[in-house]
Parts: sequence; structure tokens; C-alpha cells
Amino acid sequence: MLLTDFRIVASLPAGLENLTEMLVGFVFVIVVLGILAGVTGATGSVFKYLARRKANAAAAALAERAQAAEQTAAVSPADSVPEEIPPEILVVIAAAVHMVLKQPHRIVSIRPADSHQWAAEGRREISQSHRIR
Amino acid sequence: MNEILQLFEHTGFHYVDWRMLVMWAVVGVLLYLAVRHKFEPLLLVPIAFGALLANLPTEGLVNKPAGALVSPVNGTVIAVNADIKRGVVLPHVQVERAGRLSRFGDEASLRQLFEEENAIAKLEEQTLLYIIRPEQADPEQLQQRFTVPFDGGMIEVSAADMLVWADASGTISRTFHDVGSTVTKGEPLVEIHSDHSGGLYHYISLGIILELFPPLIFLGVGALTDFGPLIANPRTLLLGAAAQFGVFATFIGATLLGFSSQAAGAIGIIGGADGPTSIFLANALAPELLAPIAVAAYSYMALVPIIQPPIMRALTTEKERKIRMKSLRKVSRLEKLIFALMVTVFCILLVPPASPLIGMLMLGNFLKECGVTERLSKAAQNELINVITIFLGTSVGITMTADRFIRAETLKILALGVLAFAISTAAGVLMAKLMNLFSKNKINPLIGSAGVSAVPMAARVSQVEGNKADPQNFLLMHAMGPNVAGVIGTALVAGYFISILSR
Repeated sequence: MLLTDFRIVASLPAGLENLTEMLVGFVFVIVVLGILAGVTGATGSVFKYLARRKANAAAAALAERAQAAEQTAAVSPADSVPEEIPPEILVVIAAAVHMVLKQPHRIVSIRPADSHQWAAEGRREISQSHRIR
Repeated sequence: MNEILQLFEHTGFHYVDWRMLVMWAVVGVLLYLAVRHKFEPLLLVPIAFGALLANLPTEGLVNKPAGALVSPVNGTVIAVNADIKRGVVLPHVQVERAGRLSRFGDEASLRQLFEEENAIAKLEEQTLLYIIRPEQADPEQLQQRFTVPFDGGMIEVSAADMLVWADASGTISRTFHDVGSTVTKGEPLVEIHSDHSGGLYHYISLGIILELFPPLIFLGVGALTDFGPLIANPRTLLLGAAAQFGVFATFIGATLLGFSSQAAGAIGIIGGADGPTSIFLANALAPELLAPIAVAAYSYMALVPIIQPPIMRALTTEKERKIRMKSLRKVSRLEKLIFALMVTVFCILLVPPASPLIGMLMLGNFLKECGVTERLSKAAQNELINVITIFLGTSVGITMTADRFIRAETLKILALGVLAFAISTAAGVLMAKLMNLFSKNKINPLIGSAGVSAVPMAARVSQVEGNKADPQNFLLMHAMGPNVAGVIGTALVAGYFISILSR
């Protein structure tokens, strides 16, 4: 049976026709969206695998650079910052830390945050800004 | 004094009747909900204003242009009241005329129809021009014969006969058939001429009749939708699918209440909580029910925060409501583009009648995500969707004439609509609970209710309910997955209904 031809259900006895049509329809929607979920999940897995591989490669490169840095004598404080962070971002981070701490401090290292707390906080604020009726 | 009376006759006051007053009250309620309580104001305001215009004695607003009046069936002409050069004047307030004599139920009301038509003193106001006996009809109805007054004499009609009313004012310039002629469906019976072209909303409403507005709204919706949460957690597509159960259950309920299969399909889709899809399907399957279906769909979408929470709380435990879901991964642009193309190809191949909705939804989304058509995406998100919303809302409202709306079936549709909503909400929540039985990564069942597509209202309700159980739990982005899945699911159901139910 072609999936596009639903008229086959109309050949059933009249009393059952409506119920059967609706059951077929509901199962059809579940199956179609189920298949779509499976295909989307599979595509997502490929993308996740590629992203992981890229991250691993980046981590390996970073480790290599760190090793090279260790071997270099007399490291200046500015050199301890990973190369990926541009100077203007460093200035912004320093200013933000100053605003929050408001006491003498020294920034020793800057690492990417591995938690989602900031994102969650942002979402919470956005959510709270909407009036829910 | 005479001049004053004549002046009064030219005003619209003498057209006002009690049914118009009832409709003004309905308009008042809709405007109050929209303006005071901000319930879906972007749609309820145009709908309510359109309804107000529909229930005023307007001129040049909704009238059709004059032209040929065609036969609705294959059959034989049994009575004619159309002389050349005779004027035809339609009432200022739109009146829906019955097309079949069998709709009158008994002989007394049928006789009353003809007596009322005969009693119109001014000949121009008689708009029943032809009576046609169909070739194919229920033999029992064909045998039921009644003698009724018509055009100064008596004629014999059967319950199966079709009535052809003038649909535009003007002068009869040509007649094509006389009593006893055989006519085919679509063949011109009479030509009515007028120097006036049709009214503004005759043309704007073509956007609904030709099914242009709902797909264009979907283009804008697609450009506004982020499918990222759905792609990051594709299991939620099943929640959007499960929430369509209300549509199918309500279909059965509507057929049990005596609605035809086509009308039942159009009513059931209210449970999908998707306004444009409801209008699209109602226009395709039961255009006569468009007004109450659209009003029910948009009113209930506005009432999502009131209808859903009690059902969500009744079907979940405190522990389930506290389930925290894993953070969603970031979805790349390429992945979103592949998803848009995949859904387009897959859904259209499976359900071709859903192509106007799915095609436009995904086109809008592709414009948004591809990153190189920013102007087009912004136009779809703002100007286009806003203009179409005004036209769609008022066109729907203008169909809400008193004689169409003040009927027992409108109340039935409103009741079935809320039932459809409730069942869809429950089905989404229960599906999430079912999935938790087989999955290690638990889903908070509260996001199941977002499977009804009222975007983003239903997702926000999930967030609020989740927050009540655990103030640190953020379900909004998780709930957007089933929410947008519901849009795809409802469009698929609409396509399925058109496949099996279209006449």
C-alpha cells in the first residue's frame, strides 16, 4: 500500500470506518514523527561525533602548546593566557571581575566555564521577563 | 416629516435585529478578553472587529461582484423567477440561504420559506431565482412532495430539490434556462449585471477561500521558529505526535453528535491548537463552519494557561514534576538546515495534501537559518506575517454573521473544541510518562502538554508549572521541542484528514 493512499480504510464496514480511520491516522502520525525522530537522532549523532573529534583535536593541540610553554623558561604573566583569548576580551573579563569583587585581586588563569549555570541564569531572566497569564 | 422618514429609511437602523445585538455582545466579550486580558490580542482584535463589521448593515464591504449564477448540481429546472431586466437587491446584512429543501426538516417550515419569499412586496428583494431537481438524490427525499406558492402560482417541490439564490445585487441581463431544461453542474443559469464591483472583503477573503493566508502565516511562523531544542532532543517529536490524539478522539465525538465526517475533522483539529491549520482544514472540509472553528481555536489557544495546568497537575506526581532534564546540546546551523530539508521532503512525500503548510513552514525556517537571506527572513517574521494576520483575522471575523453563528452547532463546536484541547494535553503528558518507563534519561512529563502547538504559550505553561514544583528547574527550552513538533504534527493530521475526507 502506498503511504499516500489512505482511501483503503474507506473500504471497511461503515460502522467501524470512522474509528478505524482515526486509529490509522493516529498511528500514522506517531510512526511518521517517530521515524523523523530516529533520522534526526542519527543525524545528530554524526554531528556530535564530529564535534567530539574536533574538540579532542583542539584539546590535543592545546596540550601540545602547554607542553611547549612549560619548556620555555621565564614565562611572563601575559603568556600564561591561552592564545585563543583576544586582548580586548581579557580587558572585558578583568573589568567584570573588578566590578564583581571590588577588592584587590590578581587574575591567575582564565578557563572556559564547563557548567551551564550562566546560560541557565540567562534563561531564567528571560523567562521571568514574560508575564505568564 | 416625510423627508425625515425618508432619511431614516436611508440609514441602517431599521436593519438592526436582536441577533445582531447578540453578536455585538459576542464582539464585546472578544474585545474585552483581547484588550483587557491580552488573550491572543493579535488575532482576537481583528477577528472581533471583522465580526462587528459582519453584523452591521454595510455597503461595499463584503458584497460579491455581479456575474453568472451557476447550477450547483446536474438536474432539471423545475421553477424560475428570473425575468430579463428584473432588479435583484440583496439584503444589507449578509444572510446565509439554505441550498437544499431537505434542510428545512418539516413541511411547515418549508412552506414558511416560500410564503416569506412571496410576501416580499418589492419584487427586487426576491432572491430565490431557480429551483433544480437533482439527477441523483435520496429516492425517499425525491418522493416527498409539497405544494408551495412561488412567483404568483403554486408549484410542487421535493425534499431533494436545490435552491439557487442570487449572490449579488444587480439587474438580470440574460437567462440561460427555463422550466424543464436540463442543466449540468457549473453551467450558468442567469447573468446578473451591475456597475458596482465587489466589496473590499470579498476580495481580501479570497485569501482564505483560495487557501493563501494559512500557508503564508506558516512561512512567518517558520521564520520565527527555532527547531534547535527539537533537534537536540528528537524524542520530543513523539510528544508532539501523541498530543494529536485529542484531534482524533474529538473527531469520533463530533460524529457521535451528528456532524458529518468532514465537519468532524475540521472541528477535531481545534485540539491541535494551531489557528492557521484549523482555518486551512475548515476551509477545505467544512467552509460553513469556518467562523466558529476559528473563534474556538484562537480563544482556546488564548486560554491555554487556564485549560492546561489542572490537567497537567492531575496526571503527574510531585516527584515527576521535579524531574530535571539534561541540558540541551548546541545545534549547528548545518544541522538545522538539514533538518528543514529532511522534514520538507519526508512529510510531503508521505502526506502530499500537507505540502502548502509544511512547505511554507520549512521555507520560512530555512530562510531564517541559512544566514544569507536575512532581509527575506525578517520580512517573513515581521511585515508579511503582520499584514496577513490582519487580513486573516478580519476575514475570519467577517464570516461571523448572526445567522451563521447563533446556532446550536456553534455551542457544540465550542464544547468539542475544549474537549479536544484537554485530551491533547493529557495525551502529551501521558506519552512523556510512558517514555520514562523505557528511558534512562527521564523526561519531565510537564513538557508533554506543550505537544499541542500553541507556540510558545504551551511551552511557557510547562515552564511555569515546573517552576512551581522546583523553582530552580528550567523547562522552557525543553518544552519548545514538543511545542514545535506539535506544529509539524498538526499539519500532518490536516493533510491526513484532507486525504481521507475531502469530497
